[in-house]
Amino acid sequence: MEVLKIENLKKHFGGVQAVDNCSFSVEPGKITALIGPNGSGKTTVFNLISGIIRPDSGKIFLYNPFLFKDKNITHLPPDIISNFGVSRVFQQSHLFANLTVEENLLLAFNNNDQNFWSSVFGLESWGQKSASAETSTRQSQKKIVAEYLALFRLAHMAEKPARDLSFGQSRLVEILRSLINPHHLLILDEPIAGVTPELRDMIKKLLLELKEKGETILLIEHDMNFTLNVSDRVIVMDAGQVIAEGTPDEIRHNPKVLEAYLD
Amino acid sequence: MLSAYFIHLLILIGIYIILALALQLALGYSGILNLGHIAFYGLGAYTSALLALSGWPFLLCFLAGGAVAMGSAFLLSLITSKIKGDYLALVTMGFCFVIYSLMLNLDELTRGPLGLPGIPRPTIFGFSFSDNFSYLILVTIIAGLVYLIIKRITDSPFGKLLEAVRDNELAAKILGKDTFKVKTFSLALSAFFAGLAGSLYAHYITFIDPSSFSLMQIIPIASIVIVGGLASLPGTVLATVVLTLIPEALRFVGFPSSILGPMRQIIYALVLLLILIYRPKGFFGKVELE
Ligand SMILES: Nc1ncnc2c1ncn2[C@@H]1O[C@H](COP(=O)(O)OP(=O)(O)O)[C@@H](O)[C@H]1O
Ligand SMILES: [Mg+2]
Repeated sequence: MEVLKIENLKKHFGGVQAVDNCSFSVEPGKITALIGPNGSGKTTVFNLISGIIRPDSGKIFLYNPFLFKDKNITHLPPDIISNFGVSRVFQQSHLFANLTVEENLLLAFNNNDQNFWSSVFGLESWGQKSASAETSTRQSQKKIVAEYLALFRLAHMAEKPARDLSFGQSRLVEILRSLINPHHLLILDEPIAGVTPELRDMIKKLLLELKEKGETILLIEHDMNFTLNVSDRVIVMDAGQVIAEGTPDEIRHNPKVLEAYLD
Repeated sequence: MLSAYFIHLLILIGIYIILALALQLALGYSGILNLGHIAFYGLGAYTSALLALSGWPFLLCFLAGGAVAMGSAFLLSLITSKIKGDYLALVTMGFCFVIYSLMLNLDELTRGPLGLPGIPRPTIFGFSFSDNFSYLILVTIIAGLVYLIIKRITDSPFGKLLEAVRDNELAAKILGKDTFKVKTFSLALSAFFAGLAGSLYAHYITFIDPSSFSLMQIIPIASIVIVGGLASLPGTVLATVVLTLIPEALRFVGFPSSILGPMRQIIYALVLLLILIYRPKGFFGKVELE
């Protein structure tokens, strides 16, 4: 059973048909890559999936065994879609610039922070949980954050505002934030664009480890070599349409794909 | 003589500190470009004054002032739910103007431009705050409490969420946050504290009229927030003291009071300019908006 299914999606901006009758699906436990030349509509598909923009026509279905069997999420707002299990990394940095790196990551664990009374005064509604339980979960969240940061050699940045991070560091923190955000599907928009070769290898290793753990990943990547190395399935877009789909090997030898990339 | 005058200034500073801290919550912490803050201040003042004149005890009037301001903030938030940034600033200014017009034109209730005289000084549990020194103590205690509550809010995970929404609302949504709810709550809390400040003002001066709550009154308060530094509570307190005392100092250099009013505006503009040039984040601020 697929995790995400997209049916005949269309979206135009003025005269530009950014997404044109696009259909594909994402299978569980695999890394699926969405590739295609610049402007072929990949980011727009992500914006449609996460509910930031609405399609002109077409449908998007989400499957999350913990919540529902299949759910039409086509016209839902971004926060609801996120809470249904879609976690996203943007192509451009979207960190909270004035918050520390640790605070950026702590925000991702759950939405308890939205509850004013329990968050500010430690009062649980109807006494389900005591304030001390709240504090202890906070402590364990901080521990998880510290472990992640140490793993990616960012421990020294924990207390620094996110604006002080280098480009590569901020990409990493953004990926970590999307991992901490409870999810069933990870969608990553060009996570390695513009990073150093070492960091690129680090992220590649991370993606493969995540797959081992059973994560489902949909990845936009411009770099063909990286993509064909790391992914299980590849979907190729051009001018808003899916022009090819298959294993990395099939895609490598598909003349249509070569043509689209040479244009 | 001087000391009575000084007590008067300290009381005004205390009230302004509450008003400015309230604006910090919405503007500095949540990034809500609310230029209608004075409307909440005015609603608090009028609500509290009218109830007191009809015989309610001070504490209830005080809290009702905050509550009415808060309720109007919920309404304003619903109306402006689809509006962002510069446009929100315009609409909130419009809101302030509407409230001001109501104060002027609901003659039956507010006596229009004549204002409301004879607002009683507070009595709490039999203790009357009729002299200025005791009123200063009352204002100081309330300002201190408001400071501690707002600090508690902004240090909490909820406060961090406010700052997240300010820094990048889309990213907050993508993490699953209901940013509309969060901003509404922040605006409502901000309005509540502004309403309390309005009540303290009304019961101190014992006379209010619409002129104290015109749109322009936002300038000194917004200046305080910017000079103190966005999202800085100690900065807000310091800036309130400095910006209130500097114009007063002119009085002692011998400026006639007729030009003190315009001078005050000029000084605010100057201080604001100097800060923006030399310390764009304010006295203690760390926050930079994109
Ligand atoms: N918000 C928008 N407004 C107008 N045009 C847009 C918008 N978003 C994307 N486009 C256009 O849609 C097309 C596809 O863009 P995009 O999805 O970003 O491509 P990709 O991510 O594959 O590089 C481009 O021509 C782009 O200019
Ligand atoms: Mg893109």
